[in-house]
Amino acid sequence: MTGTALLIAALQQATLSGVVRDSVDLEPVAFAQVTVSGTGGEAVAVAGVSDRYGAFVVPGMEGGGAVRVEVAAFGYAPWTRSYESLPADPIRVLLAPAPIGLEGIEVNVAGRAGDPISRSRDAFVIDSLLLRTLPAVLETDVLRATAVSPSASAPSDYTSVPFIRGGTSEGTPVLLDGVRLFNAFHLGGFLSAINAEVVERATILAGSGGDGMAIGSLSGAIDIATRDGSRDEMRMAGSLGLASSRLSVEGPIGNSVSYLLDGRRTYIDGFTLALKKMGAISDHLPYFFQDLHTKVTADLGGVRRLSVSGYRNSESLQIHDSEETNTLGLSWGNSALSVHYRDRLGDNGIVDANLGHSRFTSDLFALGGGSAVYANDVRVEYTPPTDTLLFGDGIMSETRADLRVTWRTGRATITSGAQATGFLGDHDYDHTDEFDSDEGFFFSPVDLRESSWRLAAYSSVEVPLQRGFSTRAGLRVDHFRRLATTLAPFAELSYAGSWWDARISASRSHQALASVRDEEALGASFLAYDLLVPVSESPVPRNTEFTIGWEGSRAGVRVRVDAYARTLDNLRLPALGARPATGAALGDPSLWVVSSGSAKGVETSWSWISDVGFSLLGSYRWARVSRTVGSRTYKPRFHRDHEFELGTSYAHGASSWSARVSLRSGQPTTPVLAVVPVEIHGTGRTELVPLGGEYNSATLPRYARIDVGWRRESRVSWFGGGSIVPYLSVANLFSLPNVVGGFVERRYSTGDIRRVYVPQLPMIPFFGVEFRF
Amino acid sequence: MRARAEVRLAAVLAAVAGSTACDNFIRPPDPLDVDPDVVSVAIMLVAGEREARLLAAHPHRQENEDPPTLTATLSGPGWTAAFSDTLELRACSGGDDWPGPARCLRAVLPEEVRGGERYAIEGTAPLGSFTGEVVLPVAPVLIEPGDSLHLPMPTEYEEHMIPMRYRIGDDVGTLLADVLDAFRTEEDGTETELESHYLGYFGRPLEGAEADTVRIHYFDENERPLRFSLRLLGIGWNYTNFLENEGLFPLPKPWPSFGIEGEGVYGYFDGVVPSRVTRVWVR
Repeated sequence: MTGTALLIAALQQATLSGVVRDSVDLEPVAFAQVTVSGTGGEAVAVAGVSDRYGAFVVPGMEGGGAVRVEVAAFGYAPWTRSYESLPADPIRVLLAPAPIGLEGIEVNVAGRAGDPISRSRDAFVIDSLLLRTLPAVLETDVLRATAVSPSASAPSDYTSVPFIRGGTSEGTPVLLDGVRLFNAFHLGGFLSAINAEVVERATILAGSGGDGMAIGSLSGAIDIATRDGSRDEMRMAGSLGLASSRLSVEGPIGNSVSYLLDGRRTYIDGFTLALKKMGAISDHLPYFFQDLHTKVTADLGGVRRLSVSGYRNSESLQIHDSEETNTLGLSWGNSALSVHYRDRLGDNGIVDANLGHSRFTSDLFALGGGSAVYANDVRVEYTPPTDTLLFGDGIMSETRADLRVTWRTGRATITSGAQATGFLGDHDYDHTDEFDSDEGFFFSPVDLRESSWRLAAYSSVEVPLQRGFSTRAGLRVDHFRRLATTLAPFAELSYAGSWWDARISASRSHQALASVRDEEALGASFLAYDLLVPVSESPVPRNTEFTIGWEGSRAGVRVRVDAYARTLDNLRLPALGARPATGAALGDPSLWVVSSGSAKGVETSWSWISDVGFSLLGSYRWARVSRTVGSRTYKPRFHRDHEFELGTSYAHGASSWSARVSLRSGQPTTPVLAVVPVEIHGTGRTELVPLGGEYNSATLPRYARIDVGWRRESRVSWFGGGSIVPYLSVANLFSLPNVVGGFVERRYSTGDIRRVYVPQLPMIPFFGVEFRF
Repeated sequence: MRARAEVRLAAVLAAVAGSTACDNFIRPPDPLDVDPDVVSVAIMLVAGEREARLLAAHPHRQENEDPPTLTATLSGPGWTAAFSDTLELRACSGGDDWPGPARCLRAVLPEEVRGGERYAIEGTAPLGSFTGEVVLPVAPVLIEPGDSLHLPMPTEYEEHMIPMRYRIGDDVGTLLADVLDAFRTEEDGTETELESHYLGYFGRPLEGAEADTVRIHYFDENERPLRFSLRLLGIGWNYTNFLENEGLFPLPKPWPSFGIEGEGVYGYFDGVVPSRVTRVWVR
């Protein structure tokens, strides 16, 4: 009876749906608060939030009466409309940029960065403007920016992709417009491969519950959404930086379609070649990367839309020694295609269909055995290299179809979805014993071909309870071909007070992908590339996590605290060798063993954004992370117990200053007990054996770094009007000598035994200019 | 004006950064915080000898400091012998670059050291006591070449490839080819003894499980004949484990067996067991 009454009540309720857009370029506005209330005052107001495509569905209004709709979003003026009755068709909300006072001048601050903490309870959200308020390292970089999240930790200065809550990169997919992008970086991982010009926002999902249920990964995701493209007029933006140039063009096609086209090309090869010709350097670096991205979006009316996004990049390095007797050629590339269609499902539902394909290819080749004879510095004899020392190629690809329905009925929101994912990993690399160079530090032979598919269905429901409490619960069922069918439940109880809210949750997730990376190898700190292969035998890697969080806001200051504990079961990790640091960064996962891990920590973050151009974003994180391989439990080399990040920016007139301070405890290292000589029998030669204590039971020196940046926007009348923004940034301003590793050295001249450090990034200035027309 | 001031400030910032950069790019090495009283111990018993030598050093100290003071006794089947004699350092080490102040001690044994036999050591060092144990490997069996081998005199500088076949047990961790008693016959008929390294690099382990090839370098323009002895040396796993871990990065615990355990005493305790000898003539 009760159920029937509820159903009747639900049927009598009306729903308001629509899309929130920027009034200038018609870009969708996410995270807008939509409140619907009866003008008579007798009806209770109901509210909703716009999703990543600006769409909202607010059910629960009793039909018939006049209503007032209020929409508020950060950086926009409030939008209010009254209707005689609730509109049956989706409405279109155009939010105007909010003017605020800056020292008596009224300025447009639609470009003000949003608060990354408050936008989503499941995620840390970095919008395109926050991205630009952080000091650039080489150039504005979306992946490096994600490390401001307390859940994200950069394993080294040389890699832009952070690790999430004690997980590693294979457990945290980087998604571009909904499709996984393999190895989403260039320069060994130093620079993100995603053009910052077109990024709308980067969402760091730290857990597997809530929005993370749709991902189905071990350690959340980094979800990067690009803009749809301007709908009002053609616009152009780009930058000229030290390493590369970027350009994006966007505009409308007719009334309802927009396009976005962007690309980037480095000129490291040309730059170093010019320096060589000038005599400034002896060898030039024949390395290049380029990437191209395009997106077309059709607004089909109301919440209906169709978008197609394509991405492709390539990267190549061709080097030889000074005598040209050895050569090494590396080339690799990435491509991704995604299609998204959204439609309304009845009055209260939205259906999203995604289709995506992503592919990464790589090719390595090295020759040796050449010879050169010189007389008076002139080469008189030369035999080109013909012996194959290193060879191999590889492919990994993922194809994914995803159907998702979000249904709001009465007070509940139900999300259900189904996914099919196919994955191929085919990697074949080998090298001869003669391949004895620094690259051996990174590669070891691997010959693996595995394909798999995964079918998943998930559903979750969110129900507000009484007295400020609400709950979310869900279940994800995965079938991994030839492995297992797994259940991944999620449950959350939350409370919303007047100025604070709190939540407690538990969730589980699985994924059947393993990585070739050995994070204990020192080379892993310098090379972020990863090759994934499907796990071929049970058990399936699993994550189980519990979180408790609190969030409050007072006087413009927002504070968020999360504590978590997670266990990682059935991981595939390499056994700790005798000297793990010297292993190859990319190994053979067929040799990996079933292992486990754990992580627990407390994350705090705070933000303050003033109306006079000053903003502050900080975080502190304490965590303990461990891995257990066989009988050995250790702290992984990438982990730091304490991390403090503070980003601040100040906008004054057309200029803005920014600084980022990072203070971190040292990474773990193995203590040295003794350095003992050993004579190679029969030779009289002596070598040293550094004997250590428990693996990674000591720590390297603490880490401190200050980056600063400056930008100044100047209006220009070129190309019909626009702006140019020269920028200057300095990474590690005081060249604080941070380290990523260390080794032992004995100076025979003095007998001193020293620890020699492997450095992190020294002070490096970067500059360039961005433009928008 | 304001814009110009901000640009100037940015320039100053860059200059400040540049001025700090040169000297501080890389963190300078730190002195390693290790105990100066640590003692390293190297003991390699040699089958067939009636003495044992122990090389003790303070590897974390400067060479001009005092060598370690320790007591140690070796025990074999039914006997013990104290390391009571101090010898020249060269008696314990073939090289002269042994780090730290070192001392070479000798124990005179009542019988020859034998392959396959168990030996133990115990003693005290500045930081505490130590013990050790080793079972020497059984002697490698040289199958080929036979008792003698005749090689032609090369007409130019080239390597003699000498195939060797052998049989070793699992107790051999390192197998070496060893040249000894190398003599060159002069024009007047007298013989001049040559250092073994004159014939090539030895000390390189033989990798084959049952066979490998030894390279001998010998070329003499005057075609003076050469004779030498060739044999195999089998060394146990304690030394092998230790040497395998030479390098720059510390070996984390748990360590493999090195034959020595003790407070502040690190090193290896092992033995060398030779095979029979092959006489080689080059003429």
